[in-house]
Amino acid sequence: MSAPAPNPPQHSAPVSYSQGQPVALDQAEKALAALWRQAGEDAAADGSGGLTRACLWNLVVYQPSESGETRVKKVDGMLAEAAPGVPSRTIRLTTRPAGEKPAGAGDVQCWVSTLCHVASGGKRQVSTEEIRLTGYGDAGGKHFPALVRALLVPDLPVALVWLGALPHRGRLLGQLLNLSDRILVDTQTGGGENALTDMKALVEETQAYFIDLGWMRLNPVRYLLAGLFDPPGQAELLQKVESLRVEAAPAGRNTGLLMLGWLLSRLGAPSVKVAETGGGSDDWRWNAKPGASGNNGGYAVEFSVREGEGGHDGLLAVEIRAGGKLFALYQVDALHVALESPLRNEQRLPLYGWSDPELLVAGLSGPGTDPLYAEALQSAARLVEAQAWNR
Amino acid sequence: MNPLREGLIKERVPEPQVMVIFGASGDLTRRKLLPALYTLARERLLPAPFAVVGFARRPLGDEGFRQKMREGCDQFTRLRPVDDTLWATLADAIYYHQGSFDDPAAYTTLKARLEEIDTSLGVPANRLFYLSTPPSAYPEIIKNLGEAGLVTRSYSPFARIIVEKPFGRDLETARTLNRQLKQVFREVQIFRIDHYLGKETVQNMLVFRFGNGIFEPLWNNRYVDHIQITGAESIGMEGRGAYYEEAGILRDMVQNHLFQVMSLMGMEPPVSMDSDAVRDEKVKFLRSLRTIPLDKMDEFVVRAQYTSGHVLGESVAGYRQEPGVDPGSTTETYVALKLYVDNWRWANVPIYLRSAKRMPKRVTEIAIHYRHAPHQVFGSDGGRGPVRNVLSIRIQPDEGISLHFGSKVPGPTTDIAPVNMEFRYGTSFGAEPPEAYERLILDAMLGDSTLFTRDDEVEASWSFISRIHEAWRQQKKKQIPLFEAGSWGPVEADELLGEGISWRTP
Ligand SMILES: NC(=O)c1ccc[n+]([C@@H]2O[C@H](COP(=O)([O-])OP(=O)(O)OC[C@H]3O[C@@H](n4cnc5c(N)ncnc54)[C@H](OP(=O)(O)O)[C@@H]3O)[C@@H](O)[C@H]2O)c1
Repeated sequence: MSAPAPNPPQHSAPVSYSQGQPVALDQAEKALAALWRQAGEDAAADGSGGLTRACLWNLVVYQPSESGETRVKKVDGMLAEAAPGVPSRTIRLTTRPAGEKPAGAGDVQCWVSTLCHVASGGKRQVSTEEIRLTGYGDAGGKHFPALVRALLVPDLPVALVWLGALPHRGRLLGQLLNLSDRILVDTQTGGGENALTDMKALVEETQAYFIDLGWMRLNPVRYLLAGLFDPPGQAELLQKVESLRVEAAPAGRNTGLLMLGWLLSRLGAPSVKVAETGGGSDDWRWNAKPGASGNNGGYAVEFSVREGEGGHDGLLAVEIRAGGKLFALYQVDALHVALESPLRNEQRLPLYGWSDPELLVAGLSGPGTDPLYAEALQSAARLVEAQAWNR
Repeated sequence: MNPLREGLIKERVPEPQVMVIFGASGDLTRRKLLPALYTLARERLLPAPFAVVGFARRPLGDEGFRQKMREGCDQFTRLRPVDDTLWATLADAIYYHQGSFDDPAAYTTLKARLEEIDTSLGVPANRLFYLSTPPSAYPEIIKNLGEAGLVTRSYSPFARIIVEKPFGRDLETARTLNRQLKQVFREVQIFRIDHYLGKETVQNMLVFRFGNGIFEPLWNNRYVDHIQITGAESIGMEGRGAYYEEAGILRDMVQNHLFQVMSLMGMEPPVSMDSDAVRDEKVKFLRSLRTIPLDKMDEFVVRAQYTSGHVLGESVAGYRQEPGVDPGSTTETYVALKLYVDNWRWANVPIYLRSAKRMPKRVTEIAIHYRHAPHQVFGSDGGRGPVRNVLSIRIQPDEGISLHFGSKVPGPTTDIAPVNMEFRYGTSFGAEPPEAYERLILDAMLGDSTLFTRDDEVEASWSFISRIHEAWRQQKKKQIPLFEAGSWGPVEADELLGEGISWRTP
């Protein structure tokens, strides 16, 4: 029945209120209430009609200092843009080296702020109220879990947003996972070369509900590829796959591997072996050995990384050869792909891609974990592991 | 089975298809359908590939039609401003086919055009037909579609048809239309639209009742005193007087929208959310409505007309003065019904339902009025008397739910004051609910008919409503009660209510 549709941010630029000074940890709620009152008074004074407050999620955002300034800024921007689509209380956890602790400050410092967007009907709405906790040295690891427990809005779901890098295993992650209903990660931008193998291990170990934005990015392409095999007689050709080839831009390496992982898991290939002709780090080849279900002779799998034309930073091409025919998808520009199949001439189609804030909103609005993801991830990790063994 | 499709359908992006809109140069297409398609594209819910073919009489051409649809989107789409790049990609897949509904040759050329589009897009011949035309055109379009071989009865590729309201004007015509449809389509291929079912609050009724543990136990004659359902509009005829003369509010609002809302409010829990399971329960509910004897109709149904008055700061004409209306008309613009449901749950709980034009404001709501506490301990010492708990479900505008109950007034007395506990969609979710047509078109594309009316459901509601029309015909009244525009209706409607009950001011 339900159609969990994402809510593309459509609101005007936010108005932000913040407490200039750190507030005492046990005064955070009170300070937020004061900011809220102030926002309400301002909204009444400037004639925008008043203020309503919406809150659907607790977002716990972990940003250790090693995430790096640029990544932290990127995630900040993404959260601000997504805010009207997922009104939330955000508890932001950042760490700083012990040496940066201001004189006289406690081990953990706290700031509060609110972010108001103008909602439909002109009413200003508090979309996000943020509590930022900065832990100096190892204080964060010690204090964050208990502070988060104290600061969550009761009875609302909790999402752990760990986007700058992949979650590193340890006591802090374990404790935060216990509080969380789902965990947002991004294997495209976080984790580097080992993101997929690390992620696979994490999924297996924690059994938690991970939402990988890198996987969600593949959705529109998966629909289009699936569509090539809808016409009568075409799906049967997938029993006779001869080769799979995926090309990705350097920044889309993990997404490209995940795409291959998805194809392999759908087509049934429980094992892969690096092919003799395996190239360097930008040109990988394997032989896929299918299971009992089909594809008798096995097939070749190829992955290459190259610079995309016009600055494309994601998936560049997917080719499936099956039954002597070619089914393919090529990125044309940011908004279009070209599709090729035996039944159609090359055809340009719109690709309704997702911006990062939209992915975030969709990840929180959707039904949660996707069983296909675990399978695709496993296959992708197998490719990476096979490659690593061969080195 | 296509292994690459696995898991995708769950995310509710439909299979590639071509939508054909009959009556595409009309008001509904421009105002609702294309804006809904644009929003679906914006939210990445349109199938890919996808195309729309508009079919109507006037010469527009592909470009002219695209231009008209763009103007419609600029004016009416929910997510404004329209994104030029996105529109350009959508517009590429919009075509116009000029023809007359009664011309078989136009369907042959339509078929050829669709096949061409299929080939160029490389998609199977999946079709979604939309009848957005005067209802008198439905039979010939259906027949011509069948005869031109445009309808397959198979599951894949599929052919589906969406039929706009009104679906018939009485039981007989609804049955005939059902028969005509089923000569060409199977029931699972037919999507009878009632846009109220596309509203979030109407769907939320199911979630509210069956997704929570605390409300359903209080949803029966043990606790409920009576129920009031209101479907009020502040507007008058808006130039549709001639149409309204033939329809009346009972046909225009009650038979479809309010009966749908009422069935969802009153039905038993379905075994699942499967489309037939939900609709089985709605039909059962409609069939449990107590039949009103023809000669006692006035004890249960009050009809009336508005006279001139004042609505929302505007002086407005009476119904009989509206253009296109017969000055001696007895067509009802107001109707109030007292209904009983003869089943275990609702035995002896009256449902008061009213609907009208030119009310003080536009509001649709259901209000469940609970019984008083069995023993009033606060009654004697100066309190304001017992408060009746009312659970009201606001369908539009300001969608939400509120619970009315008594609370102690702060201070040394035990005075009780009524207070409200409110849930508002806009405030809680901070997001605008989608337009009804977005949801309904998407569901039809996916083949999910839960939110569409089934043949037996339409017939069950017409069977009840046609009886009222029959009684009115027999009465041959020359005059029906009148009330001033901008008031909540005629005094006669108050007499329907039981002792100590009055109409709510929603
Ligand atoms: N408008 C709304 O908001 C609304 C709301 C709810 C339900 N509805 C229902 O939706 C349906 C359509 O309403 P509407 O307001 O869009 O009607 P409309 O504006 O009168 O449009 C009728 C359409 O049918 C076409 N048409 C009529 N006779 C034709 C023929 N013989 N051959 C080819 N085309 C023909 C017209 O084409 P030409 O003008 O080019 O001849 C026009 O495109 C009706 O059943 C109505 O009850 C409408």
